Amino acid sequence: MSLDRKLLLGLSLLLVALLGLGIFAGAYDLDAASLWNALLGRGERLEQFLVWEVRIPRLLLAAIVGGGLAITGAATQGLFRNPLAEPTLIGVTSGAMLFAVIMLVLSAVLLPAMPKWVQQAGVSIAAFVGALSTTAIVYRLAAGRSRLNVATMLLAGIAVAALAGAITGLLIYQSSDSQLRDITFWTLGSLGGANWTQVVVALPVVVIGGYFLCRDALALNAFLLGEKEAEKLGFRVDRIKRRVIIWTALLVGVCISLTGLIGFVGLIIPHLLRLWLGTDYRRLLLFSGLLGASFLLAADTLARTVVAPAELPIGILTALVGAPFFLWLLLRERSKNFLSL
Amino acid sequence: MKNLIFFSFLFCLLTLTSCASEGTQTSEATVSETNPVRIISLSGTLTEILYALDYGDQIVGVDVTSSYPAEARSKPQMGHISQLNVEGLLAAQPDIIFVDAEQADNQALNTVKEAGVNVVAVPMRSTLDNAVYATEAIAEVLEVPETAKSKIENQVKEGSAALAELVAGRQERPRVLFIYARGAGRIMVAGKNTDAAAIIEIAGGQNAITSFEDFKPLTPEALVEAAPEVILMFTSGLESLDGKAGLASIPGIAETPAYKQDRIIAMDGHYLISFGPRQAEAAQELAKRLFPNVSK
Repeated sequence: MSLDRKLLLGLSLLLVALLGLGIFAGAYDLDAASLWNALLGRGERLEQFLVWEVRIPRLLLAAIVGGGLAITGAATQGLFRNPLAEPTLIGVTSGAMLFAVIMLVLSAVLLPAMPKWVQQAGVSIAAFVGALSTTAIVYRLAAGRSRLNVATMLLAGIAVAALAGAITGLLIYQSSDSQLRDITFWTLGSLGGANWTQVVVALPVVVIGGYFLCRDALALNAFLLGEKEAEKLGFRVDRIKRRVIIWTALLVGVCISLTGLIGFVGLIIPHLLRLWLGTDYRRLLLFSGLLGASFLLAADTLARTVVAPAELPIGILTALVGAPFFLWLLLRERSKNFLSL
Repeated sequence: MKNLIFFSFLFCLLTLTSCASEGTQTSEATVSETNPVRIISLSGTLTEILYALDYGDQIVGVDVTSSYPAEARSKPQMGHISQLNVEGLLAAQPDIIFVDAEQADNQALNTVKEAGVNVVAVPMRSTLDNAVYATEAIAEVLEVPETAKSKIENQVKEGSAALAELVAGRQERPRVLFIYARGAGRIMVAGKNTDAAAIIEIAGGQNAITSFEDFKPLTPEALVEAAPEVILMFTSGLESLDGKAGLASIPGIAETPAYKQDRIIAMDGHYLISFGPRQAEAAQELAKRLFPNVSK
C-alpha cells in the first residue's frame, strides 16, 4: 500500500475513532446500552434528544469546521507562498468579525421585535456577508485592472484587517455590557450552539469547496516555483488564484459565521503535515482537511468534558493544545529547515 | 505506542462512563413524581432568593455569579451564562431553570427548552424591591409558601424603611464614582443607567459621571473632571489593584478629593449590586459609609 493510501486510511480511521469517542463522552453520562438505544431511537426521550439533537450535530459541525479551516489554511499558504499565511490575510476573518460585531451591536436597533434566533441567524449572515465582501475589496485593491499581485494582496489584506479592527474596536467601545459579553464570547468561538441547520448549511459548502481546492493542488505545487514558471507550465495563474480566493472566502466565511473565531487550526494543521510529508499540495490539502477535522473534534470533545457541566471556549483549547505540540515538533525538526517552502 | 495510548484512554473513558452511569441510576430512582422539583439557577440574585425561600436543597446547578450563600458555591457549576454546556445542563436533570430575563434568549437555553425543561425568565429591575417581584415570578412556577414570601417582603420593607430614615433630610448628595477594576490594566467606571449608579442614588449619593451611559474605560482627565468625593469599589476590585496604594498609582486618582480625604469604600460585589433580598441592608451600609458623621 502506498504512503498516500496508508495516510488516507489512517486519518479517516482517526476521524471515525474520534467521532465514536465523542459520541461516548459528555457531561451527561450514557452507558453503552442506553447510547445504543438512543441511537436507534428507543429508550428515554431525553437521551434520544441528547444524542440526536445535541451530541451528533455538534460532533459533525466540529469536524466540518475543523476540516474547512485547515484546508483553507493550506490553500492560502500555497497561494501566498508564505508559511505564515492564513485566511486572515485576505481579509476574510476581520471582515466577518466586523460585520458580526455590527450586527451584535445593532441588532437591538434593527431587529428589536424579532425573536433571538432571528437575531442570531442575522449575526451569522452578517459575518458571512462581511467575510465575502471584505475579501472582494482586498482582491479588487490588489488586482486593479492588471493582474493580481499576491504581495500587494497580502499588504492590502493587512491594511484592511487593521481598518476593520479599528472600526470593530470603536463599536466595542460603544457597546453595552451585555453586547460586550456577546462579542467577547463570539471572538473566542464556540460549537455550543450546533444544530442540524448549521450542519446542513456547512457540510455542502466545505465538501464542495474542499473538492475544488484539491483540484487546484497541482497548480499550487507549480506556484512554488514562482508564478511565471507556473504560467510557463501551462497553468492559468490568474484564474486559479481567483478561484482559490473565492473558495477560501466561502469556506472560512461559512465556518466562522457559524462558530465565531476559532484560531490556530488553519495555521498549525498544514504545517504539521508539511513536517511529515513535505510540501506537496496533492497530499497536503486533502490530508489537512481530514486532520483538521480530527483536531477540532478532539479539542471540542475536551472543551465540553474537562470542566463539565460547564464548558471551555474552544478557541482557548485549540491554542492550548496546539501551540505546545507545534513548538515541540518545531524544535525536533529544527535542523531540517522545513519552513523553506 | 500511539495505539496503546489511545486504547488505554478509551478504556479509562469506558470505565468512567460505566461507573458514572451507576451513579445516575441511583439518582434517577430518587427522582419521581412525588419528589421535589430539581432547580438550576443561572443568576446570583435568583440563587440568593431561592435559598431565602428555602429551595436550597432542590438546586442542582448554579452559574458563576451565584456566590451567596456560601453553600451555593458547592453546587455543580454550570459556568457563565454565555458559555453554557447543553449536555451539562441536561445531565443535572432539572425540571426548572431560572434565568435573568435579559439573558434568557440564548442558543443553549433554547435547545434545553426543546428537551422539555421549563426555562423561566425572571425580569429584573434595579430597585430595592426587586427581590419581591422576582419572588412573585418564582411563585408562578413553584408553590412558594406564603410565610416564605412575606419573610422576603418584610425584609425588604423594613430595610427600605430603615434606609429612608437614614437618608431623610440629607441635603448634600456626595458625588460617588464607582470603579470596576480587574487589575491595573482593566479599569472601568460606571456611567448613567448602571446598577452601580442606581445603588449610589438609592443610598443618597449621586453618580459622579453624568456624561455617558454604561461602563467605560477610565481616563485620568475624566477622573479629574468628575471630581468624586467618594470612590466606591468592589472588595475584589480593590484587591486586584493591591489595595489603596495600588489605586493611588493610577494616574488621576491621587488628585481626586475622594483620595485626598481617604474616602474609599470597598464592598462585596454581589452584596452591593445583586438587588436580592439583602439589597436594602447593603444600601443602608453604603449610606452609613457615605454619611459617616450621621451614623455614629
